Amino acid sequence: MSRRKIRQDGKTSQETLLRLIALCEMVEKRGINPFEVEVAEALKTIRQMLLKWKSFEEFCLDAEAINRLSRVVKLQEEWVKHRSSTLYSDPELVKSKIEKLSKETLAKIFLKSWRPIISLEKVSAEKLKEALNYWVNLPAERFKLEATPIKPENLEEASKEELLRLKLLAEEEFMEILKNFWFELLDESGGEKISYWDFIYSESYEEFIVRAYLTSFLVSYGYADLELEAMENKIFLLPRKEPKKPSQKDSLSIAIPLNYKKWLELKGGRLKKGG
Amino acid sequence: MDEKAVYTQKVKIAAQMLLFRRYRKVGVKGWELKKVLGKNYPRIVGMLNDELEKIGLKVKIFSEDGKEEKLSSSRLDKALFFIAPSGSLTLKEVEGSGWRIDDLAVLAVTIAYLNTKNGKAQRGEVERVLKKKLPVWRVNFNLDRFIRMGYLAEDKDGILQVGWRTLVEVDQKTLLELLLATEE
Repeated sequence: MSRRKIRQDGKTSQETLLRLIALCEMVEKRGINPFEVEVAEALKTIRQMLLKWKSFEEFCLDAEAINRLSRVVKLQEEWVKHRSSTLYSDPELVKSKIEKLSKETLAKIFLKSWRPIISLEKVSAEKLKEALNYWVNLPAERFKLEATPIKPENLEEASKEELLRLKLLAEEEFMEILKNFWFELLDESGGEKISYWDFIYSESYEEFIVRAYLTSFLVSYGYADLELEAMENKIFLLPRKEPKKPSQKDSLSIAIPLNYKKWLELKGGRLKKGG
Repeated sequence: MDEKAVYTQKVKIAAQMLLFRRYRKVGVKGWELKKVLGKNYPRIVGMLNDELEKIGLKVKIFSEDGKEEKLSSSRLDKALFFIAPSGSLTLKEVEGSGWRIDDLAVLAVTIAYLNTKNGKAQRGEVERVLKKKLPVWRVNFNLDRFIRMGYLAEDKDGILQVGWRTLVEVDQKTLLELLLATEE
């Protein structure tokens, strides 16, 4: 009976230690006030429980608890240092200021305290020489293609994958461009549906094509939905606030013909509207 | 070559080393400057600084633990050297470099908030504060971007803290003082 009691006590003590370790871990990871842990009290409890430990695991648990407590003491030291430093400000006051000030004011404040690193990107003379050597030493057969007249009907559209494979586009770069374009759609539409043609229209024909190309990825990657009003021959874009990749089962392919004539038509329509 | 010409040449090399970015790395370590410019590289950096000051720039030196160092410091070899503007920039200037008001506001709020939390906080907590001011899509995108750029750091448990770039580029004391003193 007494042995059972001791075993039960041991189990409870182990649970106490596990709870203490979890508390220290939470303080360490979440940036909670480290003085929430009563270190002196915890050490006293650990000392009392030490007599009950028998197995290797129990001693390991004891050591782990001491280790966690020592880290909390270190955090307490840092906490005091931070509070006494010039960087310390009343958290509630800072939070209320953040809430009250506009984005523009916050940006201006930030600019006054920001000295960004200045750096330039370049191609070194050595790398240019290397590139020239590579070009000069290319076998003559590689240039045969140049002699072949290229007929427009032989031209094929390059997919994003093709551009990535040829290293003309980096995945990261493309996603950054796409995300910025999504922001533009969200800003322009205010989160509501917007006419597809109004969104992709640009004063330059080339940019008009690029915008249509990027829009197709916005829809395919689930950053926006396409809404068709077939009766009225209208196409709308509906931006999503959180991107969601459409499932293969529900997705449809829609071909939207784009050409110079269409662009001229849109441009003409705008000129008329403008008076 | 006379001594003056040697120094002029070395100042040019120092400028190139500090300005031109190699791969994704920004700034140059003291030992790298020493290897190329020789033992008296602090003097050459000082001369470069005099030239840069004429056009509103300056050489900044930061120790590994994010503290600003002087050219007379004894631990320059391990310090990071880079060039920064000597005065503050205007919105127009930074907008020309691709920064948006929203980006700057996100960074200002995040750094200020982290300061109130003793330097670290759960990402979700920071996101909640930011979402009161900005659309949710911009908050997540910007936080990820600033982590990539080194302004913020996130560990595997989703705890955010200021990154090395904030330590060297942002005067956090001024930021907090201005934040508390500004009224709208």
